[in-house]
Amino acid sequence: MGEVNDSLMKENARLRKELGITIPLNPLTDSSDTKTIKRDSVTQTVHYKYIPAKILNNTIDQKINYITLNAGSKQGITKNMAVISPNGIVGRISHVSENYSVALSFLSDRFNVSSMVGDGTIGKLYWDGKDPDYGILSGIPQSVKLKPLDSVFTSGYGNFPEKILVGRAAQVLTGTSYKIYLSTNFRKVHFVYVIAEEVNFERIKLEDSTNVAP
Amino acid sequence: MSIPVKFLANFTIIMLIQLFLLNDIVIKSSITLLGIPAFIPLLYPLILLLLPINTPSWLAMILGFFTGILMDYFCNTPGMHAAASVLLGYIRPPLLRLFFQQSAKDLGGVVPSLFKMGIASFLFYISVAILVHHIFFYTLQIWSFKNILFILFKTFLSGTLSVILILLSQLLFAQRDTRR
Repeated sequence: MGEVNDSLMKENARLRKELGITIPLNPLTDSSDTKTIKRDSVTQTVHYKYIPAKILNNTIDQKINYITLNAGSKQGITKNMAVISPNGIVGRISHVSENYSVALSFLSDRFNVSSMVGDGTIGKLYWDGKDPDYGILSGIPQSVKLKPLDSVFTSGYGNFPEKILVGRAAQVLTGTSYKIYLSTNFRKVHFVYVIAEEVNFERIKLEDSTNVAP
Repeated sequence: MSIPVKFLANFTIIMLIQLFLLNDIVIKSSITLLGIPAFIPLLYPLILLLLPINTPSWLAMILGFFTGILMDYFCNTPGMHAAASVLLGYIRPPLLRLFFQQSAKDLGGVVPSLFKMGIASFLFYISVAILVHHIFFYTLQIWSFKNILFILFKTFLSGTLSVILILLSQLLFAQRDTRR
Protein backbone atom coordinates (compact mmCIF):
# COMPACT_ATOMS: atom_id res chain seq x y z
CA MET A 1 0.00 0.00 0.00
CA GLY A 2 2.81 2.40 0.93
CA GLU A 3 4.71 1.63 -2.28
CA VAL A 4 1.61 2.17 -4.37
CA ASN A 5 1.10 5.46 -2.64
CA ASP A 6 4.71 6.52 -3.23
CA SER A 7 4.58 5.65 -6.89
CA LEU A 8 1.31 7.51 -7.30
CA MET A 9 2.81 10.54 -5.59
CA LYS A 10 5.75 10.52 -8.02
CA GLU A 11 3.41 10.03 -10.97
CA ASN A 12 1.34 12.98 -9.81
CA ALA A 13 4.42 15.13 -9.42
CA ARG A 14 5.50 14.27 -12.97
CA LEU A 15 2.06 14.96 -14.40
CA ARG A 16 1.79 18.25 -12.55
CA LYS A 17 5.13 19.28 -13.98
CA GLU A 18 3.96 18.45 -17.49
CA LEU A 19 0.70 20.26 -17.01
CA GLY A 20 2.25 23.28 -15.41
CA ILE A 21 0.24 25.76 -13.45
CA THR A 22 -2.52 27.32 -15.46
CA ILE A 23 -1.79 30.95 -16.14
CA PRO A 24 -4.95 32.94 -15.51
CA LEU A 25 -6.34 35.16 -18.22
CA ASN A 26 -5.24 38.75 -18.11
CA PRO A 27 -8.37 40.90 -17.67
CA LEU A 28 -6.69 43.70 -19.58
CA THR A 29 -6.57 41.69 -22.80
CA ASP A 30 -10.09 42.79 -23.73
CA SER A 31 -9.10 46.42 -23.83
CA SER A 32 -8.05 47.82 -27.17
CA ASP A 33 -5.03 49.53 -25.62
CA THR A 34 -3.23 46.35 -24.73
CA LYS A 35 -1.71 43.75 -26.95
CA THR A 36 -1.46 40.06 -26.21
CA ILE A 37 1.66 38.18 -27.07
CA LYS A 38 1.09 34.57 -27.89
CA ARG A 39 3.76 32.40 -26.38
CA ASP A 40 4.50 28.74 -26.40
CA SER A 41 2.41 27.47 -23.53
CA VAL A 42 4.90 24.77 -22.54
CA THR A 43 7.92 27.01 -22.19
CA GLN A 44 5.84 29.45 -20.22
CA THR A 45 4.39 27.04 -17.75
CA VAL A 46 7.19 24.59 -17.02
CA HIS A 47 8.91 26.65 -14.42
CA TYR A 48 8.15 24.52 -11.44
CA LYS A 49 9.35 21.12 -10.32
CA TYR A 50 7.27 19.21 -7.80
CA ILE A 51 9.07 17.14 -5.17
CA PRO A 52 6.70 14.77 -3.36
CA ALA A 53 7.20 14.35 0.37
CA LYS A 54 5.48 12.76 3.31
CA ILE A 55 4.82 14.63 6.54
CA LEU A 56 6.61 13.02 9.48
CA ASN A 57 5.65 15.48 12.18
CA ASN A 58 3.19 18.33 12.36
CA THR A 59 1.79 20.58 15.05
CA ILE A 60 -1.16 22.95 14.94
CA ASP A 61 -1.59 24.02 18.55
CA GLN A 62 1.29 26.44 18.97
CA LYS A 63 1.96 30.00 17.97
CA ILE A 64 4.65 29.01 15.48
CA ASN A 65 4.18 25.55 14.01
CA TYR A 66 6.68 23.43 12.12
CA ILE A 67 6.22 20.51 9.73
CA THR A 68 8.88 17.82 9.22
CA LEU A 69 9.17 16.29 5.73
CA ASN A 70 10.96 13.13 4.64
CA ALA A 71 12.83 14.77 1.75
CA GLY A 72 15.92 16.95 1.90
CA SER A 73 18.76 18.41 -0.08
CA LYS A 74 19.38 15.04 -1.79
CA GLN A 75 15.95 15.37 -3.39
CA GLY A 76 16.70 18.96 -4.41
CA ILE A 77 15.02 20.89 -1.62
CA THR A 78 16.53 24.21 -0.61
CA LYS A 79 15.49 26.92 1.81
CA ASN A 80 12.43 29.11 1.14
CA MET A 81 10.75 26.70 -1.26
CA ALA A 82 6.98 26.65 -1.16
CA VAL A 83 5.11 23.63 0.24
CA ILE A 84 1.60 22.83 -0.98
CA SER A 85 -0.84 20.01 -0.42
CA PRO A 86 -3.26 18.73 -3.08
CA ASN A 87 -5.88 21.07 -1.58
CA GLY A 88 -3.98 24.26 -0.87
CA ILE A 89 -0.94 25.91 0.61
CA VAL A 90 0.95 24.41 3.56
CA GLY A 91 4.09 26.40 4.30
CA ARG A 92 7.65 27.30 3.40
CA ILE A 93 10.88 25.33 3.88
CA SER A 94 12.91 26.80 6.72
CA HIS A 95 15.61 24.21 7.50
CA VAL A 96 17.12 21.52 5.25
CA SER A 97 19.35 18.55 5.98
CA GLU A 98 20.45 15.75 3.68
CA ASN A 99 17.35 13.57 3.91
CA TYR A 100 14.88 15.66 5.87
CA SER A 101 13.58 19.15 5.86
CA VAL A 102 11.50 21.32 8.18
CA ALA A 103 8.89 23.70 6.87
CA LEU A 104 7.39 26.68 8.67
CA SER A 105 3.67 26.01 8.60
CA PHE A 106 1.20 28.59 7.34
CA LEU A 107 -0.22 28.35 10.86
CA SER A 108 2.53 30.60 12.20
CA ASP A 109 2.75 34.11 13.49
CA ARG A 110 4.01 36.57 10.84
CA PHE A 111 3.69 34.10 7.95
CA ASN A 112 2.20 36.25 5.22
CA VAL A 113 0.97 34.97 1.89
CA SER A 114 0.20 37.39 -0.92
CA SER A 115 -3.25 36.35 -2.08
CA MET A 116 -5.79 37.56 -4.57
CA VAL A 117 -9.52 37.31 -4.89
CA GLY A 118 -11.41 36.45 -8.05
CA ASP A 119 -11.04 39.82 -9.75
CA GLY A 120 -7.29 40.07 -9.14
CA THR A 121 -7.25 42.37 -6.10
CA ILE A 122 -4.23 41.53 -3.95
CA GLY A 123 -4.39 41.21 -0.20
CA LYS A 124 -2.35 39.78 2.65
CA LEU A 125 -3.35 36.42 4.11
CA TYR A 126 -2.12 35.44 7.54
CA TRP A 127 -3.08 33.33 10.55
CA ASP A 128 -4.25 35.01 13.73
CA GLY A 129 -3.05 32.18 15.95
CA LYS A 130 -6.45 30.95 17.03
CA ASP A 131 -8.36 28.50 14.89
CA PRO A 132 -6.34 26.20 12.57
CA ASP A 133 -9.23 26.17 10.10
CA TYR A 134 -9.33 29.93 9.42
CA GLY A 135 -6.97 32.62 8.13
CA ILE A 136 -7.41 36.38 7.83
CA LEU A 137 -7.27 38.19 4.50
CA SER A 138 -6.58 41.90 4.94
CA GLY A 139 -5.91 44.89 2.73
CA ILE A 140 -8.81 44.40 0.35
CA PRO A 141 -10.17 47.83 -0.62
CA GLN A 142 -13.71 48.80 0.35
CA SER A 143 -14.74 48.89 -3.28
CA VAL A 144 -14.21 45.15 -3.60
CA LYS A 145 -16.87 43.16 -1.81
CA LEU A 146 -16.29 39.50 -1.16
CA LYS A 147 -19.30 37.28 -0.71
CA PRO A 148 -19.23 34.12 1.42
CA LEU A 149 -17.69 31.16 -0.45
CA ASP A 150 -15.75 33.39 -2.85
CA SER A 151 -12.41 31.76 -3.66
CA VAL A 152 -9.07 33.20 -2.64
CA PHE A 153 -5.92 32.25 -4.59
CA THR A 154 -2.21 32.87 -4.23
CA SER A 155 -1.12 35.87 -6.25
CA GLY A 156 2.24 34.54 -7.40
CA TYR A 157 4.19 37.41 -5.81
CA GLY A 158 5.92 35.44 -3.09
CA ASN A 159 7.28 31.94 -2.95
CA PHE A 160 4.03 30.36 -4.04
CA PRO A 161 3.11 29.94 -7.70
CA GLU A 162 0.08 31.72 -9.05
CA LYS A 163 -3.53 30.58 -8.74
CA ILE A 164 -3.27 27.97 -6.02
CA LEU A 165 -6.51 27.84 -4.08
CA VAL A 166 -5.98 29.08 -0.53
CA GLY A 167 -9.48 29.06 0.83
CA ARG A 168 -12.92 30.54 0.67
CA ALA A 169 -14.32 33.67 2.25
CA ALA A 170 -16.28 32.82 5.37
CA GLN A 171 -17.11 36.05 7.12
CA VAL A 172 -16.54 39.80 6.90
CA LEU A 173 -14.54 41.09 9.85
CA THR A 174 -14.19 44.76 8.96
CA GLY A 175 -14.65 46.54 5.66
CA THR A 176 -11.19 45.53 4.46
CA SER A 177 -10.49 42.21 6.10
CA TYR A 178 -12.16 38.87 5.81
CA LYS A 179 -12.09 35.55 7.60
CA ILE A 180 -11.05 32.82 5.17
CA TYR A 181 -11.87 29.14 5.56
CA LEU A 182 -8.61 27.48 4.57
CA SER A 183 -8.81 24.80 1.91
CA THR A 184 -5.95 22.80 3.48
CA ASN A 185 -7.09 20.83 6.49
CA PHE A 186 -3.96 21.05 8.62
CA ARG A 187 -5.34 18.41 10.96
CA LYS A 188 -5.13 15.69 8.36
CA VAL A 189 -2.56 16.71 5.77
CA HIS A 190 -0.17 13.81 5.13
CA PHE A 191 1.38 14.18 1.67
CA VAL A 192 2.72 17.43 0.28
CA TYR A 193 4.61 18.75 -2.72
CA VAL A 194 7.63 21.00 -2.40
CA ILE A 195 7.79 23.42 -5.31
CA ALA A 196 11.19 24.11 -6.81
CA GLU A 197 11.23 27.04 -9.18
CA GLU A 198 13.62 26.13 -11.96
CA VAL A 199 14.61 29.38 -13.66
CA ASN A 200 14.52 32.38 -11.42
CA PHE A 201 18.16 33.44 -11.16
CA GLU A 202 17.68 35.99 -13.89
CA ARG A 203 14.62 37.36 -12.13
CA ILE A 204 16.36 37.55 -8.75
CA LYS A 205 19.33 39.29 -10.34
CA LEU A 206 17.09 41.81 -12.04
CA GLU A 207 15.10 42.48 -8.89
CA ASP A 208 18.26 42.87 -6.84
CA SER A 209 19.62 45.39 -9.31
CA THR A 210 16.85 47.81 -8.27
CA ASN A 211 18.34 48.04 -4.79
CA VAL A 212 21.43 49.84 -6.08
CA ALA A 213 21.04 53.59 -5.81
CA PRO A 214 20.93 55.23 -9.22
CA MET B 1 7.66 1.23 48.09
CA SER B 2 9.99 4.01 49.06
CA ILE B 3 9.17 7.53 47.97
CA PRO B 4 11.82 7.96 45.22
CA VAL B 5 10.82 4.65 43.61
CA LYS B 6 7.18 5.67 43.73
CA PHE B 7 8.01 9.02 42.17
CA LEU B 8 10.02 7.40 39.38
CA ALA B 9 7.19 4.97 38.63
CA ASN B 10 4.69 7.85 38.56
CA PHE B 11 7.00 9.91 36.40
CA THR B 12 7.60 7.14 33.87
CA ILE B 13 3.99 6.08 33.50
CA ILE B 14 2.52 9.58 33.28
CA MET B 15 5.24 10.80 30.92
CA LEU B 16 4.76 7.77 28.63
CA ILE B 17 1.02 8.44 28.46
CA GLN B 18 1.59 12.15 27.91
CA LEU B 19 4.30 11.89 25.27
CA PHE B 20 3.13 8.97 23.20
CA LEU B 21 -0.64 9.13 23.56
CA LEU B 22 -1.87 12.61 24.47
CA ASN B 23 0.68 14.59 22.42
CA ASP B 24 -0.63 12.92 19.27
CA ILE B 25 -4.31 13.40 19.94
CA VAL B 26 -4.69 16.93 18.62
CA ILE B 27 -3.12 16.13 15.25
CA LYS B 28 -4.48 12.71 14.60
CA SER B 29 -8.10 13.57 15.25
CA SER B 30 -9.90 15.50 12.56
CA ILE B 31 -12.62 16.92 14.77
CA THR B 32 -13.45 20.37 13.45
CA LEU B 33 -15.77 21.99 15.92
CA LEU B 34 -16.32 25.63 15.12
CA GLY B 35 -14.30 28.11 17.10
CA ILE B 36 -12.62 25.64 19.42
CA PRO B 37 -8.87 26.19 19.53
CA ALA B 38 -6.50 23.27 19.11
CA PHE B 39 -4.59 22.16 22.17
CA ILE B 40 -2.81 19.11 23.55
CA PRO B 41 -4.41 17.48 26.61
CA LEU B 42 -1.87 18.07 29.39
CA LEU B 43 -1.62 15.40 32.06
CA TYR B 44 2.00 15.84 33.16
CA PRO B 45 1.31 18.41 35.96
CA LEU B 46 -0.08 15.42 37.86
CA ILE B 47 3.52 14.23 38.41
CA LEU B 48 4.18 17.31 40.53
CA LEU B 49 0.78 17.32 42.17
CA LEU B 50 1.33 13.78 43.46
CA LEU B 51 4.60 14.50 45.26
CA PRO B 52 4.48 13.84 49.03
CA ILE B 53 3.13 16.71 51.06
CA ASN B 54 6.37 17.51 52.91
CA THR B 55 8.40 17.87 49.70
CA PRO B 56 10.25 21.19 49.96
CA SER B 57 9.43 23.66 47.23
CA TRP B 58 13.04 23.79 45.95
CA LEU B 59 12.92 20.04 45.24
CA ALA B 60 9.51 20.33 43.59
CA MET B 61 10.84 23.16 41.43
CA ILE B 62 13.88 21.13 40.33
CA LEU B 63 11.73 18.08 39.54
CA GLY B 64 9.28 20.39 37.74
CA PHE B 65 12.08 21.79 35.64
CA PHE B 66 13.17 18.34 34.46
CA THR B 67 9.58 17.24 33.82
CA GLY B 68 8.93 20.37 31.81
CA ILE B 69 12.15 20.26 29.84
CA LEU B 70 11.42 16.66 28.81
CA MET B 71 7.99 17.78 27.64
CA ASP B 72 9.61 20.67 25.75
CA TYR B 73 11.94 18.27 23.97
CA PHE B 74 9.01 16.37 22.56
CA CYS B 75 6.84 19.40 21.73
CA ASN B 76 9.54 21.58 20.09
CA THR B 77 8.70 24.40 22.49
CA PRO B 78 11.39 26.69 23.87
CA GLY B 79 11.17 26.06 27.60
CA MET B 80 7.54 27.00 28.07
CA HIS B 81 6.51 23.75 29.77
CA ALA B 82 9.61 23.97 31.97
CA ALA B 83 8.75 27.50 33.08
CA ALA B 84 5.15 26.61 33.86
CA SER B 85 6.18 23.49 35.79
CA VAL B 86 8.71 25.39 37.90
CA LEU B 87 5.95 27.85 38.80
CA LEU B 88 3.71 24.92 39.71
CA GLY B 89 6.42 23.49 41.96
CA TYR B 90 6.73 26.89 43.65
CA ILE B 91 3.03 27.38 44.41
CA ARG B 92 2.42 23.78 45.50
CA PRO B 93 3.22 24.05 49.27
CA PRO B 94 1.00 27.13 49.87
CA LEU B 95 -1.80 25.44 47.94
CA LEU B 96 -1.53 22.29 50.02
CA ARG B 97 -1.57 24.33 53.23
CA LEU B 98 -4.68 26.08 51.94
CA PHE B 99 -6.72 23.07 50.94
CA PHE B 100 -5.59 20.22 53.17
CA GLN B 101 -7.90 19.74 56.14
CA GLN B 102 -5.25 18.83 58.69
CA SER B 103 -1.99 20.67 59.16
CA ALA B 104 0.60 19.77 56.58
CA LYS B 105 3.28 18.96 59.17
CA ASP B 106 1.34 16.12 60.76
CA LEU B 107 0.91 14.23 57.52
CA GLY B 108 4.55 14.30 56.44
CA GLY B 109 5.18 11.93 53.61
CA VAL B 110 1.56 11.28 52.66
CA VAL B 111 0.87 11.53 48.94
CA PRO B 112 -2.15 13.74 48.19
CA SER B 113 -4.91 11.68 46.64
CA LEU B 114 -8.62 11.82 46.02
CA PHE B 115 -9.52 9.40 48.80
CA LYS B 116 -7.20 10.81 51.43
CA MET B 117 -8.08 14.46 50.93
CA GLY B 118 -11.75 14.04 50.19
CA ILE B 119 -13.30 14.95 46.89
CA ALA B 120 -13.99 18.63 47.59
CA SER B 121 -10.56 19.67 48.80
CA PHE B 122 -8.77 17.50 46.24
CA LEU B 123 -10.83 19.01 43.43
CA PHE B 124 -10.06 22.53 44.66
CA TYR B 125 -6.38 21.70 45.02
CA ILE B 126 -5.93 20.34 41.50
CA SER B 127 -8.22 22.92 39.91
CA VAL B 128 -6.32 25.89 41.30
CA ALA B 129 -2.94 24.30 40.56
CA ILE B 130 -3.95 23.43 36.98
CA LEU B 131 -5.47 26.88 36.48
CA VAL B 132 -2.23 28.62 37.50
CA HIS B 133 -0.10 26.24 35.43
CA HIS B 134 -2.23 26.49 32.30
CA ILE B 135 -2.80 30.22 32.41
CA PHE B 136 0.95 30.78 32.73
CA PHE B 137 1.70 28.28 29.97
CA TYR B 138 -0.80 29.68 27.47
CA THR B 139 0.20 33.26 28.26
CA LEU B 140 3.78 32.32 27.37
CA GLN B 141 2.59 30.49 24.25
CA ILE B 142 0.31 33.20 22.85
CA TRP B 143 2.06 36.19 24.44
CA SER B 144 -0.20 39.07 23.56
CA PHE B 145 -2.63 40.92 25.76
CA LYS B 146 -4.78 41.68 22.74
CA ASN B 147 -5.82 38.03 22.88
CA ILE B 148 -6.44 37.87 26.62
CA LEU B 149 -9.94 36.48 26.19
CA PHE B 150 -8.59 33.82 23.89
CA ILE B 151 -5.93 32.89 26.46
CA LEU B 152 -8.63 32.55 29.13
CA PHE B 153 -10.86 30.51 26.82
CA LYS B 154 -8.05 28.14 25.89
CA THR B 155 -7.02 27.86 29.55
CA PHE B 156 -10.57 27.03 30.54
CA LEU B 157 -11.04 24.32 27.89
CA SER B 158 -7.63 22.76 28.33
CA GLY B 159 -7.80 23.01 32.11
CA THR B 160 -11.21 21.34 32.27
CA LEU B 161 -9.90 18.46 30.19
CA SER B 162 -6.80 18.16 32.40
CA VAL B 163 -8.88 18.11 35.58
CA ILE B 164 -11.15 15.42 34.14
CA LEU B 165 -8.13 13.32 33.12
CA ILE B 166 -6.57 13.69 36.58
CA LEU B 167 -9.83 12.75 38.34
CA LEU B 168 -10.18 9.69 36.10
CA SER B 169 -6.62 8.61 36.80
CA GLN B 170 -7.25 9.03 40.53
CA LEU B 171 -10.46 7.01 40.42
CA LEU B 172 -8.67 4.23 38.55
CA PHE B 173 -5.29 4.05 40.25
CA ALA B 174 -5.26 5.81 43.63
CA GLN B 175 -5.12 3.70 46.79
CA ARG B 176 -8.51 3.47 48.47
CA ASP B 177 -7.15 3.68 51.97
CA THR B 178 -10.01 4.95 54.12
CA ARG B 179 -8.28 3.93 57.37
CA ARG B 180 -5.78 6.83 57.17
